[in-house]
Amino acid sequence: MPPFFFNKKLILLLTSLILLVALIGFSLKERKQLSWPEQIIHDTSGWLQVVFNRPAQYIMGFVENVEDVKNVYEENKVLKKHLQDYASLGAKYGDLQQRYTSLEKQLHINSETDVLASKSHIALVISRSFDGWNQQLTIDKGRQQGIKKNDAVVTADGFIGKIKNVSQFTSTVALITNQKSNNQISVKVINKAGTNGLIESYDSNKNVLLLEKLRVNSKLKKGDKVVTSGIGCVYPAGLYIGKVKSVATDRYGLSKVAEIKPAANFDNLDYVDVVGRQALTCNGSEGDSR
Amino acid sequence: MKQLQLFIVLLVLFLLQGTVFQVFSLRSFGYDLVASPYFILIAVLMIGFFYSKTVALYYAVVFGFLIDLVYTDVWGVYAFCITLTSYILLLIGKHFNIHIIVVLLVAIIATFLVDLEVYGIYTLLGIAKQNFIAYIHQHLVPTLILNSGFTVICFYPLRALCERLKR
Repeated sequence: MPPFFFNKKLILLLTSLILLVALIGFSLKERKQLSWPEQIIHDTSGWLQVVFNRPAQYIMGFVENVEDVKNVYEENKVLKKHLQDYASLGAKYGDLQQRYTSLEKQLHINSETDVLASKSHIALVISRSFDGWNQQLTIDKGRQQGIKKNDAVVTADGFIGKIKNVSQFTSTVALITNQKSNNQISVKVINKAGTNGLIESYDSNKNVLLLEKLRVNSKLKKGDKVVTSGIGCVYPAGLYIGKVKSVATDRYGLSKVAEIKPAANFDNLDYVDVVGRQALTCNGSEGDSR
Repeated sequence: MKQLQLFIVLLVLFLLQGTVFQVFSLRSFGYDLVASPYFILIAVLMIGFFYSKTVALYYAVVFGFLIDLVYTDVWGVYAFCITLTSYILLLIGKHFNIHIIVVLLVAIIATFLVDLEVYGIYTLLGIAKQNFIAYIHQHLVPTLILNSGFTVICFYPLRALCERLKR
């Protein structure tokens, strides 16, 4: 036997390499829920992170306010214009709502059993992974507050991701900018034809979501709005995702691919809204595949 | 009791990485750059130089694994990279006179190695999908600048702490 194998450090290095591969393999496996030691670590570090994150967010908020003061005048002009539209829109909405309920009554539809009902929780972002590769957040609500795995996470601007892991008092959010996960979201394009489709991946070089395998004759155009359709059984319906940026035929010319620019800003997240489906649970494969 | 102070310092640095430095990240000011803070790595190197090598490596494993658990969803990558890199650099650094310039150089090399290792492993696993040139521009260079800045700032306080504990 050569003296090579008696080198203790070399053996240690090789053992740790094997251990690394085993750990990676174990952690990449799809698991239903976290084990209790993990939950304890997540919750404890979550509590400590709040202590550091809150002051930082206050200061950042102040900096942003100072920036905002600069363009108050411009913003005010735009908002005034919007406000005029708002009154007419409100009247229109009231009218439609009235008509909808009266029609519902005529058809004897019981609106108590709304299959698309959802429930939302406001949560505070307490930390974010620091390398550019893992795109995940920790929020300060967990199982005790009624958060479930695969709930949708949105901000005021739009859809940002889903709940990946739930501990007792904190949970982890996988953002749609995560380059690994297949962000399968069943979506609806709001236009006259009402195209349905599945968002399948995120292109990190262009910062767009890809809506793939659309029919060649589907009529979507630049600027159409895209919302979740709710028929994938995981996410609630009607969460705004973004606008169509461009439509192109795919490599083989058999289907179309649309690029969608996400409406949400992923860089400055402080509060998020966790929206979970309430009524219907079925075995949808949306969003949780790897 | 002595160890407790080091533990608290490392814990605070570990928490700063994911909280304060993400609120004030380059992205939140509108630049498309990522500077990942490796404060644990630098603190471990300092502890290795000024206090004890064994203690330093022991903390590297513990806090590396904590990073893996809390901030990523793949276990072992940071624990392995940080421990291996700090072990090698502590071996080499033993032969030099410990001066702030030497520590700064070692910290830059360590950051460079760890960032490259993590990028390599994550590319293999399919988590990182950035091409190499874009990675150097948008990730590696800002990371090196941030961490060398941190090294200069924390050099004197950490050295003072380690020397006080050693007495």
